[in-house]
Amino acid sequence: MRRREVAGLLVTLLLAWLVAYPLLLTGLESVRAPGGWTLEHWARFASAAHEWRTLWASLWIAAASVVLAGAVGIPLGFVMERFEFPGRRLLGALAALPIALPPLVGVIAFLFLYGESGFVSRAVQAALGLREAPWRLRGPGAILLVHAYSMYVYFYLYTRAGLARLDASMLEAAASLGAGRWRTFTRVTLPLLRPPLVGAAILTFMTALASFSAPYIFGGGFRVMTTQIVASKLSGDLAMATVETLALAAVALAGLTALRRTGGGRDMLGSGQKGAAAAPRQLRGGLPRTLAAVAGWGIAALLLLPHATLLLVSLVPPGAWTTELLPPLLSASNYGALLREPERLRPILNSLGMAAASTIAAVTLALVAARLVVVGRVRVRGWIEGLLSAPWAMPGTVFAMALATAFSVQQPWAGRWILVGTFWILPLAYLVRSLPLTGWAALAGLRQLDPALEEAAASLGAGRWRTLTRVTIPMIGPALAAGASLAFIMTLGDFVTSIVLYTYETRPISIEILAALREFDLGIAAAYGICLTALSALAFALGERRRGERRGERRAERREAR
Amino acid sequence: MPFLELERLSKRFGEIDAARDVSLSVERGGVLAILGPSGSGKTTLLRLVAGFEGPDAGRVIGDGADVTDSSPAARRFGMVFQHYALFPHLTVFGNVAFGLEAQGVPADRIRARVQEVLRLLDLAGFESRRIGELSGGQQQRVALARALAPEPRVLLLDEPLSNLDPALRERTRKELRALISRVGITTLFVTHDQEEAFDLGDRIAVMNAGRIEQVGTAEELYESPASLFVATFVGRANVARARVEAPPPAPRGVGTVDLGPVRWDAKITGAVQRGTPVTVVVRPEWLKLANGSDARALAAVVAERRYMGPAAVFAIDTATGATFEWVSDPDAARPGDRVSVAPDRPVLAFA
Ligand SMILES: Nc1ncnc2c1ncn2[C@@H]1O[C@H](COP(=O)(O)OP(=O)(O)OP(=O)(O)O)[C@@H](O)[C@H]1O
Ligand SMILES: [Mg+2]
Repeated sequence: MRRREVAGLLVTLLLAWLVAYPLLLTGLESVRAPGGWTLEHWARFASAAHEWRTLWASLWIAAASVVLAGAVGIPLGFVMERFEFPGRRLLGALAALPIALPPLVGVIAFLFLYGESGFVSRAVQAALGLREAPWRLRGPGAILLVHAYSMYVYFYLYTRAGLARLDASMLEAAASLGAGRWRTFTRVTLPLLRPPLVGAAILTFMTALASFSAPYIFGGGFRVMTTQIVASKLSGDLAMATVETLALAAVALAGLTALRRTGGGRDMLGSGQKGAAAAPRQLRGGLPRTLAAVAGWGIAALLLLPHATLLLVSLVPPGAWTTELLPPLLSASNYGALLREPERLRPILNSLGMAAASTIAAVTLALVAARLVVVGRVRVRGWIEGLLSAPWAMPGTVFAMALATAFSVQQPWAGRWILVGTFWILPLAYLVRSLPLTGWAALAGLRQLDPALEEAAASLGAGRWRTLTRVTIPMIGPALAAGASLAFIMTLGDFVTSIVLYTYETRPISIEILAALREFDLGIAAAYGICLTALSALAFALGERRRGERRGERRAERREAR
Repeated sequence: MPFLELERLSKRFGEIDAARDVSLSVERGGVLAILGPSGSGKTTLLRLVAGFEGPDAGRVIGDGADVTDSSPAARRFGMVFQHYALFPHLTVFGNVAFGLEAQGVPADRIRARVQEVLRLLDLAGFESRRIGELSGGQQQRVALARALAPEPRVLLLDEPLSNLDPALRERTRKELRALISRVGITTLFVTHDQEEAFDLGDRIAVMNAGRIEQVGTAEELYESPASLFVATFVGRANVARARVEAPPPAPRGVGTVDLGPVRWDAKITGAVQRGTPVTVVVRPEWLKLANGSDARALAAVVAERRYMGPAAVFAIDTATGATFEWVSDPDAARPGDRVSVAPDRPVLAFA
């Protein structure tokens, strides 16, 4: 009994040291002057018009991203879930594809596609006989384009999941009460979809606010807070960077709280007895079917274009492609270079190693913490849960800056060591950012686990370790694997934290992509991008496979029960 | 000397007394049934015995040794859970072998013992099945096999039959009774089903709101219930209000109660005087057709007749104002008939 409470306190302390302490130190740093305290940095921030402009830019870009992503994702979700037409299944899966593109890779794919010397621009230029590129992919418009492309997936997936769980008998009930299609939609479907849609909006808002790659590559003179923080840090104005970091954190928290308020309360789709979802409506008649198919395949082409472009560019040998519309020569030489030259292979090994290590550590910590919360029901369980989730509410740049601040001095008595500039800082940062995904997976897994299973093991004479390894972990394995694979993918492609904290020795793939881009080694950059995408897809498939197995088992159980 | 003893066990959950001063004992090889309505604390009591919960007060004694502070594993009490709690990721073999593996039994002995237990439960050949591929009845037997395989000292069963459909339940009950007597294991099991408790338990403890109201054989509970709760929870009961006419000469002796239209002899429980209000309980089969001139005859009108084969159950509106159930032979009366009934033995009365 007591031992468990002590363990709870220790885990809370460890999590606080990882998550809350660096933020606290950043707060102190922002009001510190040599030998005393000062509000000077905050005053400087408050009186600079461009700082306010930047903060405002972050906010409206995030809000506009939500609107655009919703405008694309919700209708697409409805069409895919409610209408049956040739190729619906394949198209439905393709529509989730942008999520498998790490942010920086998506950005460079857009660059190769719609940038000044991208395929589409060249094609338009050639077709119209222009002397210059028809447009420049720069500024807020470009950022929003990338955001809409990569973030509509949240709305799309949440809409589909919501509709799939919507009991068809509710729609039938509305119809039998005399409600027309529009009335049913506005009075029944939409209100029931509200919680998942608000969930998608929150996810999009937080992602867009934290977005770094798109504004960094396409922003030009247009800054948002994430790029501004990195710029301040690089220019040596650390005090200002800490103030900006805290300002961004405050905006993130305020936005999150405000959106939660509109949450529309409880998820009502899961409540009550579960009926079957409405069957998709067959589109009848030649014309609608043809239109649907054409529109569908048009969308698919648009979605696949960035991936295809990346693949194509990765096959262009250095210097082989200059002014032609299509590359004249293709070879695998870029991939050869990645594998053969140790300096080029290094970032891949770095990323894999650091992502694997941080994911394993995050899973272990999450499992210990979640057990104390769910099974141990320790008194500090609210704190543990809050600390596990906290990194999710903070843009990656905020945590990178906080860790950079916390671990740049040697004060072992205060729990601070110099880790910046060493191997350790990046895996540590990845670990912190992986805590929410792995923590939620462990909490959800344990909450669904029938406590009687662990008790049964105990009454059969199994000790703690045996119960954990033979019952608990096998049972929650699928949930844990899914969380771990998402955390692994996020850290493998990480750019935001890495650009603040990397050292030359530990440089990850994303940093190397940036370096290649700067040297106009477009083929190499694309080849890295393809490698990263392929590794992410592999990790995703592995995580899903475990989940799929479990789903198959459950289906078998249900069949048996009937 | 009893093999399993519970001494004044108490457990509170916030405001709720899930177990209050529960003392019970089971002889070696005996079967004690705990019978109580939903929420009365049966599962909690079993979990206290198994060691999944620690009591606020009281002791659990197994084979003479205090095990109150022992871990569930150290107690070596086998438990069958209400929803079985079978490990879905293991096969039938894996489930049944689990406890033996935990004890570090060598592999060949495990195999032999698992085969033996599976044969005992008529599950031979099911070794490599997954739990999801079994019917409800088979799952129930696997749960039993798993609990019995490590040769526990005590078997704890939480509503072992409640998840089976009625036809299967009766058959499984017979098998379970045969199995327990063959293995000869000391057993504590809980149920809210009276028939199950009567059939399986040597003795039955009736539980209500965390308290044990009475412990006894089925006959004792039925014929001389210690409280109004036991009288009405166990078996069918007609209830009416009355006043004491003549208090019994000795406690729990026979006195007379006044129901208004009639006076009946009654075994009275509780301290009473002449005029004390009591609740009278009459079993439906204690009532017999009576001569209208008999002083103990209660006039009634037959409202309903339900034919049950060898007997019929009549609903009769009596002169006391209460509607009674009356069991008699099928053509004793028809709906609308005026009848007179009287009990063939002293009725029960509770102050
Ligand atoms: N862990 C717990 N926390 C709080 N209250 C509990 C807990 N376990 C049981 N209770 C409460 O204790 C009382 C007894 O519960 P218990 O499960 O023992 O009843 P039961 O007789 O087994 O009921 P059933 O026949 O429905 O299974 C109930 O009021 C229940 O709500
Ligand atoms: Mg129960």
